[in-house]
Amino acid sequence: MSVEEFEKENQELGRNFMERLYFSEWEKSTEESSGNRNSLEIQPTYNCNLNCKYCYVDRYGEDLFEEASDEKVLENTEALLDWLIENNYNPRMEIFSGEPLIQPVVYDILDMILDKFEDAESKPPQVVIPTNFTWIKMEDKVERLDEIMERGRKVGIEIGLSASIDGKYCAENRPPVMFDEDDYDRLFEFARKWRCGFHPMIYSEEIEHWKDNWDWFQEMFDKYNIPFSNIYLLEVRNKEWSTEQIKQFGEFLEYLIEWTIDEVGKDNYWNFVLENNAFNILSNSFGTVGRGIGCSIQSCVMVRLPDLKFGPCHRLSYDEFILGQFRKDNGKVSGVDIKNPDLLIGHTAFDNNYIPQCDTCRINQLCSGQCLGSQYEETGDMFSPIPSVCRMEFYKIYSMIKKLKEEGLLEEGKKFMNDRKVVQIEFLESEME
Amino acid sequence: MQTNHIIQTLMVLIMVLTDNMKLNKNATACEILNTGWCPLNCSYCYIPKTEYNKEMHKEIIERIETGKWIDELEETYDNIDYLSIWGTEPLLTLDDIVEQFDEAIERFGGLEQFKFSTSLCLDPMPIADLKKKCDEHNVKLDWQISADGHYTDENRMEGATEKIKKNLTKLISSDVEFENIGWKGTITADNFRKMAEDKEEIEKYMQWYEDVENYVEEHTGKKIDSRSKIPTLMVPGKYTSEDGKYFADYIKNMEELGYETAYTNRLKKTLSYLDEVESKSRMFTCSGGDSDFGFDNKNIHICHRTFYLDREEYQESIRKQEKYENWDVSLLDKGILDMINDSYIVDADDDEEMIRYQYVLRNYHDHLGLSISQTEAMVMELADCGQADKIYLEDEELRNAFALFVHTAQSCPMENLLNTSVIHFQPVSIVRLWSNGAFQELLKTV
Repeated sequence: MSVEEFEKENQELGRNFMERLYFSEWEKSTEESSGNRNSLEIQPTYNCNLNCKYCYVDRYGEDLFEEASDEKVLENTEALLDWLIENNYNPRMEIFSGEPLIQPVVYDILDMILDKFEDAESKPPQVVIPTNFTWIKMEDKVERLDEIMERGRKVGIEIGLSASIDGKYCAENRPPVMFDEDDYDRLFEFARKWRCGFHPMIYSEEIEHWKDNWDWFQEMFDKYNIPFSNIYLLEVRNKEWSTEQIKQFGEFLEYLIEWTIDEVGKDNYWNFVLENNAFNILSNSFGTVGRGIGCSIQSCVMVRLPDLKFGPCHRLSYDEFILGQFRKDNGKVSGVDIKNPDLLIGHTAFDNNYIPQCDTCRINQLCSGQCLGSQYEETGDMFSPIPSVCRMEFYKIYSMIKKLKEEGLLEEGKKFMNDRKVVQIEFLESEME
Repeated sequence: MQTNHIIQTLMVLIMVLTDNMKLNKNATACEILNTGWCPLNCSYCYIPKTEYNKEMHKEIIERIETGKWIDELEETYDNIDYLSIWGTEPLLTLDDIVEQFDEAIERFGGLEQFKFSTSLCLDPMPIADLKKKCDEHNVKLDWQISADGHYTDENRMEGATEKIKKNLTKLISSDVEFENIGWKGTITADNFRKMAEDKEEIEKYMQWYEDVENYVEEHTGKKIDSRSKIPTLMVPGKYTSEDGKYFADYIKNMEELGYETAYTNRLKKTLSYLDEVESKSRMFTCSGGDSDFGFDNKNIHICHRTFYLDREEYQESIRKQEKYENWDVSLLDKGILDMINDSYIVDADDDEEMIRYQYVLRNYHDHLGLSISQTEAMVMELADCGQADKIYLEDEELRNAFALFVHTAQSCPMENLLNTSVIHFQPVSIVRLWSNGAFQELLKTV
């Protein structure tokens, strides 16, 4: 047993895995790509101008991310981008942070991506930025973004902004910067112009306002000629859901199904769910993702730009979970060094249905699973589910099945689902009886 | 659903409000820390030695001498049947434990078994005193001598063999009768490589024990009543695929010479109770964090493995060492220790934390699916890059059996955490060791 040989074999193991699972996927064109393992998420800082009630960054940010000067972040970004170009890698990119677009360095990063890839043989199809849109209040930032979005179109890289706003009736969850009516008008106008998506979080607090909130979103979409389906709903899977709040969440989902039926019609309901993703929340229990878990943890390499270390995801990039690091020689990225091959392979390969508790759960085929980061924060084990979130997920699915049954849509839907899902739906139906 | 919620909430409240449910009802075994340093420096020891060990030793002695350890155990455990002492070399303070043995037994309401392992390189007579006490209280004394056959001096300390002979002779000469003495041998990769290359090495290894026992018999006129001398492996180690191939040859040689390895019985047990794996997983996992916990200074540990590591000064003293000599000290750099201290070493008086802790531990002991699937993925990746037998890419049945074996025969939640950061994931070293022919060789023996 030699420690050097052991380390050498670990490096070979981890690099072989990264090469086969991710880097080879990054070489493919959008058409050839499987859609899984094709993303690179870069994390410049964790700074944010909001203090959302449910956000993990405020509580754990200092442990999750390294701080570095803007110069260092840009130096590492350049090295990483050069390495991508040299290898003809064109992953779909995501810039994730606290709030990326209030930070000057992120604009420099965006310029750098567009400059570097402008003449590159293969380019990332998209750079996605989840943003809280508070910069809509700052004229200079809006102008700057207009320029960048325009340039992205010319270069052939779509800069896709996704609005992380929770809606007028749930804005209290996202202090301290509040939007007035004019701000919202400018925001939706910008979203219309650049085809931005929306991804509000459904949190336990203010859940009683979600029906009004939904109507408000749709009124704004209507006003600005934005497609009604341009919204991705995801519940916050933190522990604090009370029984009453879970019940209200269920009521909202029933309302949402009713609204959707009114909008698309009963005949077209399942087509909307299976083909158009149905706001995510109405579809993720019934479709399949081709990965072990619904979230992007198994499809994305998440890199912290200050030190080029990569972890399982932005919510699990603690030192103890660092998987490896992009190696720099003479200022250039020359490959990856693997730190934790066990977790690298284990977290990429696991299936939700094998998670403790989920393995024996009677709705495990319908449940999209919990957030591993949230589970780690609450239980100390990224694979131990939070009981209150299990209750919330159970009731979420129960409410949808109940409503679909009442509407006479359930039997039709079962035809599109695999047997394991159908068995579990029938179990829920028997519970109703 | 609401009813379920109410029941769960009530259960949590009952656990919080009822003192004697701090640990689950199965927790009847306890490992306590009774020393802080050791005169030896074994090549495979997982405890880095620094000057701070002596400081800890003083502090531990004080806790023993004042009887605080008895108070703390009584407050935390509802029922202790099995008590074992751990640390570095237990003989250093065994006489203090003997002095308080009567009181401890009275306060715990009896004890079934008292257990420890020793290098037997120090004055052994406290063992005789302890044996008398155990006999008085009808407690079974289960003790082992840590010695690695003819590799003892190489692995542990030059002159260790002579000390063991001398001290065992002294002990057996006393007026106390000892039965069923255990030998606890640990072999390193260098050791089993030699045994793989030359069968004679295995015979020499076994012969060493015979020689020691014969020596004692010659000098005392008493025959030693001892148990198996079959060694276990240094785990998890940092094993390479080449080590795995030598390990396969070692198992083959053992079989050809008519010896069972320490793992044969573990495989037999798994195969015999295969139907129980899914519903009674805890039958196959290590008892650490299930029926057995480490206990030190009112902190609950999964087992003895993390003793000392909750002391900030000790961690600092290790990091200050110019050269990390110990094989797993590098793990201290990874932030894993902070996680372990935050989540896996818990204040016994913090009821809420104890509930969280035991929930996670139950998830480890009662649900093997995630662990097994991770090992299957790992062995396939190893095979894909030439670090495991390619058969694991093709033969699904063998792969399933392999993963099940690795998790049942080598279950160690604490090493999983230290090496992979996840309690459910088996370290790659172990998977590599067994997947280069060793598991197939073992299968032939059952």
